[in-house]
Amino acid sequence: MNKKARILRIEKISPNDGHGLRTVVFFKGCPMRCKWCSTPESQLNRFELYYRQSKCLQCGKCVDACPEKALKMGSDGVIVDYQMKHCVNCHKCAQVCPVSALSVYGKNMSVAEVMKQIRQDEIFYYHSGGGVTLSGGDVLQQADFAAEVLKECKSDGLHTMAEMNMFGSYDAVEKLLSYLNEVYIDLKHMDPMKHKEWTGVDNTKILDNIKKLCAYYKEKGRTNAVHFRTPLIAGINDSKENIRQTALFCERNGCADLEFLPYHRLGETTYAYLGRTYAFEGMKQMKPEEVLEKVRFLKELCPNLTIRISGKRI
Amino acid sequence: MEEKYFTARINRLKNRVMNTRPEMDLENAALFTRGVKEVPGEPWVVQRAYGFQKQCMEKSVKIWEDELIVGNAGSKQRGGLLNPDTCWSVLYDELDTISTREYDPFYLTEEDRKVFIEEIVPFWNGKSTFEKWLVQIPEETRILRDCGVLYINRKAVRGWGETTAGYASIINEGIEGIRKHIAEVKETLDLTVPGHYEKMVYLKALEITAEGIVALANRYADEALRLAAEEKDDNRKRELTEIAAICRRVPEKPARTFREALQALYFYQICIFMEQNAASYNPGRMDQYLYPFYKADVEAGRLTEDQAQELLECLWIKFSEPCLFQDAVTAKFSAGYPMFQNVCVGGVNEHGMDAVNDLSYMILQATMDIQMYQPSLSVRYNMSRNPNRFLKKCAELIKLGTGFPAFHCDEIGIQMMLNKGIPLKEAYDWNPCGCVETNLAGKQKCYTSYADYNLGSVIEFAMNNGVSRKYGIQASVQTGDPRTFTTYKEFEDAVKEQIRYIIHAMVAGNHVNDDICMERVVPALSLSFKECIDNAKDYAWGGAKYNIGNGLDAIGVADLINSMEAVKYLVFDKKLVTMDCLAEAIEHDFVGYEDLYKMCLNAPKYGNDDDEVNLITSEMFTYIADLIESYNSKFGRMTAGILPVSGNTPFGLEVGALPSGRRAWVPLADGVSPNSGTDSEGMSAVIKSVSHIPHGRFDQGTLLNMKLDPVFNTAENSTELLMSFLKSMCSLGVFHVQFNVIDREMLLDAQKNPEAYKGLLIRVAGYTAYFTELGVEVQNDIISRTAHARVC
Repeated sequence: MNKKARILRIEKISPNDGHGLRTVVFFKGCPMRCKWCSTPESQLNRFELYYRQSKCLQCGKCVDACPEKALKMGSDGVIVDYQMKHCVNCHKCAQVCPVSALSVYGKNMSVAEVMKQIRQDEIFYYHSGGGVTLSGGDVLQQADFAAEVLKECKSDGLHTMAEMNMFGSYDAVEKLLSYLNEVYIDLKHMDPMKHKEWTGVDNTKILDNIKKLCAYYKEKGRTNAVHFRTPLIAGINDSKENIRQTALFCERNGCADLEFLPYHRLGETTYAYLGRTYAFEGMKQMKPEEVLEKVRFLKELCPNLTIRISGKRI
Repeated sequence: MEEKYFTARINRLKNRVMNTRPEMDLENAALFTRGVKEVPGEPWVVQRAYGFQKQCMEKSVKIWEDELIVGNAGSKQRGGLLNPDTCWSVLYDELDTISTREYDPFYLTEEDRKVFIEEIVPFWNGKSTFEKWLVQIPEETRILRDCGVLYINRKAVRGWGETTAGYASIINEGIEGIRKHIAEVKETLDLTVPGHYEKMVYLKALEITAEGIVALANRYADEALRLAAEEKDDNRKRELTEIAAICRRVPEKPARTFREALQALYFYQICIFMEQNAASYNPGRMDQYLYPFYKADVEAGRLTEDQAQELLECLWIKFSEPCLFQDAVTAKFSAGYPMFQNVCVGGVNEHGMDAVNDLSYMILQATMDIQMYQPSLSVRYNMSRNPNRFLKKCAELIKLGTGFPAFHCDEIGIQMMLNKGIPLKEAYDWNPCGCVETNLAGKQKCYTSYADYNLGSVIEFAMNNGVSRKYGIQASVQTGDPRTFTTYKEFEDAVKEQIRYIIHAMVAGNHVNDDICMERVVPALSLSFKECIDNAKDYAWGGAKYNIGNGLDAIGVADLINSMEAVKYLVFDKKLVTMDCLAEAIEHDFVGYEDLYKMCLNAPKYGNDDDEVNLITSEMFTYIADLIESYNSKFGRMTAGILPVSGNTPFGLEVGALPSGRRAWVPLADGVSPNSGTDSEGMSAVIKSVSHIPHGRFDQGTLLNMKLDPVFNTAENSTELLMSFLKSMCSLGVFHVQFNVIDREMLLDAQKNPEAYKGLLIRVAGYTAYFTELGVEVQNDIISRTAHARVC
C-alpha cells in the first residue's frame, strides 16, 4: 500500500473510455514513441517541465529561482533548457511561477491517493454502468502498482478496465488480469518493420502477448472482454491490406470489437509546450467519413467482428 | 418543430407577441382608482374588491386573430400594469425614463401619462405600500440596503405573486361552487359574536370579486360573438362561436372539457395578475389537474392528441404576453419582464407513486415547439418512481439548448416541504415556484423570495471591519481588524458574525414589511385557497392552510466559500502571505499585487470536489440555515433559499476585490454554481461540490447553472449518459440544475475570454484536452465543426 507510481493525470466522468462514465488514470512513461502520439507528455518516465508562452508574464521569477541557472529570459519569454544541459528537474521554477506558465507533467501518487479520487465518483459509475480505466502512457511498466489499484477497485465492487499497448512482459499482464473486467488493446500496425519505423519498437512481442491474453479470455469464456483500438493515420497504417490484416487478427483471436480512431492533431500544442517538434506537422486530420470509406469492407470480411469508428458502431 | 396542421397558426400567434413592444398600460389603474372612490366609507377590503370588479366590468376586452384561448389582464397585448395602491410613486419617479431605460423599458403614451398625473397620483399620494415601507424601514436595514448588502425593496414595489393558486378548484368547482362555499360560511356567522363582522365584511369582498370574474368572462363571450357576426371566414366564425360558448361557461361553472379547463385556468390567471402586478403566479402541476379532462375527452372521441397539443401551445403563447412592471433597480436584478409562471411536470401523486402521464410529455413537447421564455418549464424527477422514458425526454430537451427544463430532484423537493413543516402526504404535491422555490397549490402562503443578501459584502466586511469599501461607511458590525487574527477560526468567527448581523437586519425589515402588507388584501387570489374561505380570512392575513416565514436568499455562495478557503490556505495553513499583505492587495484591487493575485486564483476552489473546500461549504451553509431557521415571523419560521435570478450582477457592483481573486465591481457567482472558470475537474466534481450544501434546508430552493460538457451532446450514447448524470445528481441530493449547451458562439467567446472557460473540455475517443489550452489553429478547427445551437 505504500507504493507510489508516476501518474500523469486523472480524468473524471470520461464517456469515451469504456462503458458508462469512468475515471481514467493515466500512467506516465511509455516505451513506445509513436510519431502521431497525441499525448507526448505521457511518454517520458520522468516528470517534465512544460512551458506555455501565452500565459507567461515574463516576470523573471523562474530565472531567479533556478539554482542551476538553466533558464534564461529571451525576447518572447523564457528559454527553457529542454535538453537538460543544466536543468536537474527540480521544478523550483514551476513552483514560483505565479501563473503556471511553467508547470510539471506528472506526479507521484500512492495507491491511497489514486483510490481517493476514484472513490469520489462512485455514484456516477453506479448510475451509468461505468467504472475505472487505467491508461497511459503504459500501464504495464508500473504493473505492481496498477495491480494494487485494480485490486482495491474490485474489492469496492467497481468495474475495471485497462488500456494497454501490450509491449511489456506477459508476466506484467498476468499481474493485472484477475482484477480486470475488460481490456482495451492498442494495435498500431500489423507489419513488424512498419511498426518499428513508426512506433520505435517491434510488434512481435506485442502480437504474441495479445494472443496469450485472448487465449486466457477465451478459456474463461469471456470473449467480449477484449476490445481493440487502432488509430488510423493516412499513408501509414490505412492501407487496405493493413486494415484487413488487423481485422483478421482480431477475429482470429476471438475478440469482441475493433475500433478505429481517426487521426487528429489535438495534441500538437503539447509538443510545443515540451519544446519538441511534432513530426507530423501539417498532416491532414482524418474525418470519420473517410475512415468509414476505408473500413467499410470489413463488415463483409469479418461479419462477427463489431467495427467502430470513435466509439460509434458502423 | 415538426410541421403539424396547426404550426402556421402557432407561428402567427408567436410572431405577433414577439413583435409587440411592451407598453405601460394604465387603464386598469384608472378603473381601480375610480372603483375604490365610488364606495367611500366601505371597509378597505370591500373598496378594493369594488376596484377589482370595476376593472372586470369596464376594462377593454380584446380577442386577437387566430386565438383559441383568450383573455388579457390589461388593454394592451404586452402591457405593464401598475398597482397604484402598492407603488404609484415608482412610475412617478421614472416618468421621463420608463420608455427608454436600459432594463425592461415600457413605452408610456401621452394619454396614459395624463391619466396617471391627473387621476392616479392625487388619490394615492401618501397611501401606497412602498411609501409606507420607505418611512418605516428599520435604520440598520436601510443602511445595509443603501450599501448594496441587501436587496429588500422588491415586495414593496410589487404585489404578492410567488404563489401557486388553487387552479384545480377554479376548474373543477367553478366560481359557482366557490360562491356556494362562501354562502355556507356566511350562514354560520352571527354579527353579535365578536370577530364575525370582520368575517362578514371579508365574505362580501369575496362575493364582489367573484361576480367581477364571472362578468369579465361573459364580456369575452360577448366580444367573441360580436367578432363572429362580422367574420367572413367560416372557419374562424365557427372558432369564435366556440370561444363565446366556452367563455359563457367557464370559469363560472365547472369545466367539462380539456379546452374549457385551459380557458378557466387562463381567465383566473389574468384575474390574479390584474389584482396585483407580480411575478411568479405559477400554474404548477398542469399535467396532474388537467389530465382527467384530457383523458375523458380523448376517450370520448371529442379531442385528438394534436388538437390538445394545439390548445396547449396556444396557451403557451398567452403566457408570454404579460410583462412584469417593476422599478429600474429591481429590473436590473431580475431583467427580461420576468413573469416566472412556472409550469411543472412529473413527480409523484398523492399515493407517492409515479405521476407521469401523456400530458407530461405533451407539455414538454409544447416547450420544445414554442421555444419562448414563458412559461418557465420545470421537471420534478422522482428517481424511484418516474420512468426512464420521461427522463429521456427531459434529457433530449436539455440537449436542445433552450435552458429548459429546470430539472429538480423530486426527493429533495419533498424534503424541503417537510422542512417547512408540511405533512408528507401534501409534500408529495409540491411544485416549483418562480425560479426554483417550493410551493403547494392553493395551500401555501409566503414570499418565497422576500429579499437577497450579499455574501460578497460579508467577506468584504470581515476583511474591513464592517466598512463598505465602495461607500466608505460603517455599514455593518465591527468584527475587528483581520490583521490581528492569529487563527483561521478567528476569521471564520468574524465572517459568521457579519452574516448574523446582516440576517438580523433582514429579519427586522421582514417583520416591518409583514405588517405593512396586512393591508394588501387579495380576494381574487384567496378565492382559490379553500381555507381562506373556511376562515373568512384573506391570503394576506394568513388565511391559507400553511403560512410560512418569508424566504431569504443568499447571493455569492462561491465567492464566500472561495474567499474563506483562500484566507485559510494562503494565510493560515500554508502561510504563503500575511493577512496584512492580503488585506492591502484587495484594498488596491490587486493592482500592483499581481503575484498575490495569482496565488489567490490558484488557491483551491469550490467546484472541484476538494475536501477542504467541501468542509467549508457544509460548515457555512449549515450555519446559515441554522441562523435563518432560528427566526420566527408572525406567519411562521423564516426560510432560506439560494436563487439569484440576475441579482449576482448588481450585487457584484457593490463589492470590492475579494480574497478569492475576484476583482472589484464585477459580478458574483450565480446561485450555487462555481465562480466562472474555477471548476476544472469536470461536471461530476461540480455536482459533488454543490452537494455539500444542505439543500433540503434551503427550502426555498437552490439554483445551479452548468455548462453541458459537449461530449454529453455528441457521444453516441450521450442521452443515456446525461440521464445517468442526472440520476447521480439526484442520488447526491442536489436539488436543481439547468444547463447551457456549449455552442459555436460560446467557443468563440472562450477564445477571447479563456479565464472564464478554464474547465471546458474537448473530448474525442481516447483523448481529452482543455479547450483553452489548445493552439488557436486547433481551436478554430473545433469551432468550425461545432454546430450553432439555437438558444432562445
